This record gives sequence, C-alpha cells and structure tokens, in this order.
Amino acid sequence: MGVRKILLIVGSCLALSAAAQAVAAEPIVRNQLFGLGGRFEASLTPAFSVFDKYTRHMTISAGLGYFFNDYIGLEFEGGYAVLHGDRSLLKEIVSTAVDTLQGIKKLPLSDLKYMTWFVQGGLVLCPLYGKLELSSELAVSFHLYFVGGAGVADWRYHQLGDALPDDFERIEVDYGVKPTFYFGGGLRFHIARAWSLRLEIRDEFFYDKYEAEHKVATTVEPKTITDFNHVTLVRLSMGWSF
Amino acid sequence: MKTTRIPVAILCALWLPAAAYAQSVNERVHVLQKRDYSVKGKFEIGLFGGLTVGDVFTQQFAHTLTFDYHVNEALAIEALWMSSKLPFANGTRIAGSGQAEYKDDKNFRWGETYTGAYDQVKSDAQLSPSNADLVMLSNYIGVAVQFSPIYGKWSLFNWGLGHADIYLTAGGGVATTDYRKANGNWVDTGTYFVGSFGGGFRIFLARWLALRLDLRDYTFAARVEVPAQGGGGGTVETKIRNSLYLMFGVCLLFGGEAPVEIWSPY
Repeated sequence: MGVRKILLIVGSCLALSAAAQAVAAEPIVRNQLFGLGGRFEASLTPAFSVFDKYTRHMTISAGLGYFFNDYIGLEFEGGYAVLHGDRSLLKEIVSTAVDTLQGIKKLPLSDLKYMTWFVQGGLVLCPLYGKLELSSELAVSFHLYFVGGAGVADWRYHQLGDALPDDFERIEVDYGVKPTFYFGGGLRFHIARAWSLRLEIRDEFFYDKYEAEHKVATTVEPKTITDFNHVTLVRLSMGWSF
Repeated sequence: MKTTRIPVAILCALWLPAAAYAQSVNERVHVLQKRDYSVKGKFEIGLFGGLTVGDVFTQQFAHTLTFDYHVNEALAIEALWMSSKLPFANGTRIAGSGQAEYKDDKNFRWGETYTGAYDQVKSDAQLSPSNADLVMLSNYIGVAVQFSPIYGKWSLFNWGLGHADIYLTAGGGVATTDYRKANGNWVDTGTYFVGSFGGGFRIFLARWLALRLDLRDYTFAARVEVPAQGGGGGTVETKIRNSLYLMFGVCLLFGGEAPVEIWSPY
C-alpha cells in the first residue's frame, strides 16, 4: 500500500469524523452514557490466532490509547507471543515427505514465519455506537470500531534438519525485526464508566521476500518466495479509561 | 485449535443467563425503550450467499435457503439447505476405485476449489496434504435452534438509528461430501452427519424485511479411501474437518404480532 493510499484513508476517516460531529447536534441513541472523547485508555490484551495456515500464536500485550473525540483515537501497544510455533498440519506434511525433502533446509512456502514480540501504533475509528439488551434484563452500551496501523515485530521460522522428521522444529532461525502492519475491527462493550471489554479480530502482516529452496529433478535449487505473511488474532482486551 | 471451538461455544451458551427463559407473571419490561421490531410468532424465509473462510487448502462458495419459526423473541427453530453443488451429471465412473471416482464431471459447482496454499504445497514444495484435508461439503440439509438473547439499537456516526438482534445457533444435519484429485477427477467421499454451531446478527430494515450476517462452523469426520498403489494395500485417511462459512442473507418475515411499545426507565 502506497503512502498516497494511507494518506487517503486517514483523510477520509478525519472527514467522516468531522461530518459526524457537524450532524451530532442531538444524539440519535439517547442516554449515550459512555463517551470516549478526551480520555486515555490503558489496556491489557490476551489474544490467540485463528485461520492459521502453518503457525499458531497466543499473545499478551499492553497498550495505551487516546481519543480526540468519540470517533477517532490513537493507540500504541507492545506485546509478546507466549506461545509461538508451527501447527501440527505442517509437521504432518513434512513427516509424510521425508524422501522428497532430503537436502532442503528452507521450505518454499509462504506464511511460515511466526512472531515473538511486537511494538506498534495506529488509528482507531469508532463510527458506530449502540445499546444492547441482554434477555431484556441488562443494558450494555457498545462501540463498533476499526483499527489500522504499523510497527515492528520480531519474526522467526523453523528450518529443516538432516534427520527428518525429527529434526524439524529443532532449528529456529531468527528472521529479524521487520516493519509490520495491522488492521482489524471489533466491539467495545462498556462495562462501567471507566472499564470496557473489547472483542476484536486483527490481521498482522509483513511483506516477506524469502530465499527458500526446492528440488528440480534431484537437484536442490534456490527459489524466492514473495508474499505477505499473515497472522490473524482474536483479541479479548480489558480497558481502563481515565 | 479448531477442536476447542465446540467446548467454547457450549460454555458461552451456558454462561448466557437463564433469565431469557423466565417469564414473570407480571408484565416484562424491556430495558431498551421503543423496541420497534418483534419476531415472536413470525416465520422467516432467508436466502444467503457466502463463502468458506480460514481453511488452508479448500475454498467454497455456497448458497443457503433457510426457513425459521420464531417461538418467541429469544428462540427460533430453523431448517436449512446449503449447497455448493447442484447435481446434474457425475460423469463417467472409474472402475476399480474404492470410493466412487468420476471423470468429466458435469455438476454445477459454485466455487468448490483449492486455495493458492494447496498449489504452492503441491507444485513448489512437491508435498502432498492429506486427502482428508481436501474434502468439502457439497450439499447440507439440517435443522438448528437459534437463541437470540441480545437486541440492540445503534447509530452510525450519529446519522440514523438501526435495530438488530444477535443470535447463537446450533444444530445438525446430513451432508454429501467430495474432493478433487490432482488429475481433475472428483471422488464421492460419502454422506456424513454434520454438527453446526455459530452466530450472527439480524439487522431490521422493516418489520417484514431483515439482513443477516451469519458465521457458522460445520464439523464432520471426513474419510478418504486411498486405493492400493502397485503391490501395496490401500489406506484410509480420516480427519475431523471444520468448514467455517460466512454468509450474507436477505430475509422476509411474516405472521406474528405487531410490537407493543413498553416504557422503560433506561
């Protein structure tokens, strides 16, 4: 995505926010008890990966956000993947092709990299406010929001060893710290004046140009894999605003 | 990790308050004012289109026809038919194979295909995923119970007011399944019992018209018989398969009662 596109998206968000404020003389949803404008929010977020291709993650992160008004805010966070590694699907594929993989160290597949830690920041857009009633007994206010931003993350992958399939996952390669981007969306449920619960789905990705290996007849030759490496996380976050 | 979805869904369902079923002898008061859309006693016919999400090797589009009866505001019973294949002609059956294998398939398939990850595994890495990982649902008929304890109002940038309810659904049925071999032939892998669970929300556009977004997981035990190669014996590959469908639907509601406005202090 080019710089122009990013600027266009940010500009559109700001324009929408300004338009909304111009219209907002009288709230459409009455008794809007939970505003975001002018408040900071500290959050603690456990997460786990979904739609995994070859890797899996469980992460924990802490963040701080600030909302300029009810619709737009900024957030920064850092986190660590307490569980990171390969799915059993990849181990299974490797274990059934030991002869084919002889001599190959780097699998020619995309989405092989998993992240260990990350630091990132971005924009939060909250276009929708609503109230839910749970079994006609309990009223819960919520915001629907979208996030997008960038940062850096440390990525790693497993290389194949000489004695397959046992050697797979014994050799971890530090792929380095890469510029990493994210976008996503979710619901913020307001539990009390200062406390909220966020349920969010977020895609973390980086552009990966990876020098792998493959076999041509019986000869191992280099092969370049270029693709975006994705990790999709479901995040359950507890936030405290002040 | 996919196998954890079922216990998580059950825990979530148990956690939801039993108050949804409790009906006081006194008038029940809704905590949201002006509940304009009631579904109690209504029938609902829906037509959905959507696709599978998250599967590593397979990709399907599907259409679904649903028929719901809303017993009350929180509970509905649903019958549905979901299809990715309209059977016209299976083609010529290959003799000698275990499960029925056909070449020159003429069935109408709405996107039953494999992903780029499958092509990469096969061609770049020269590896082979298990055949059981390639099995897809082609037609599903089942019933489900829909529990919608949450009703809400929302505004987009404070421009207008929308009404929606959020539901959980669980059910079961039977499905036909198949997969495509590398040579292009289709293999009928049999009919299975399928369990389903999921959730979604229903946005009311009028008292007789709603839009629905539905995320539903279909779980079944896929079994593929791999015929004997050369002098060796055949093998059987089995996998628990999860197909997660994201569906968007248009629904018509009819029957039932007009909602009664109930005052609430909230």
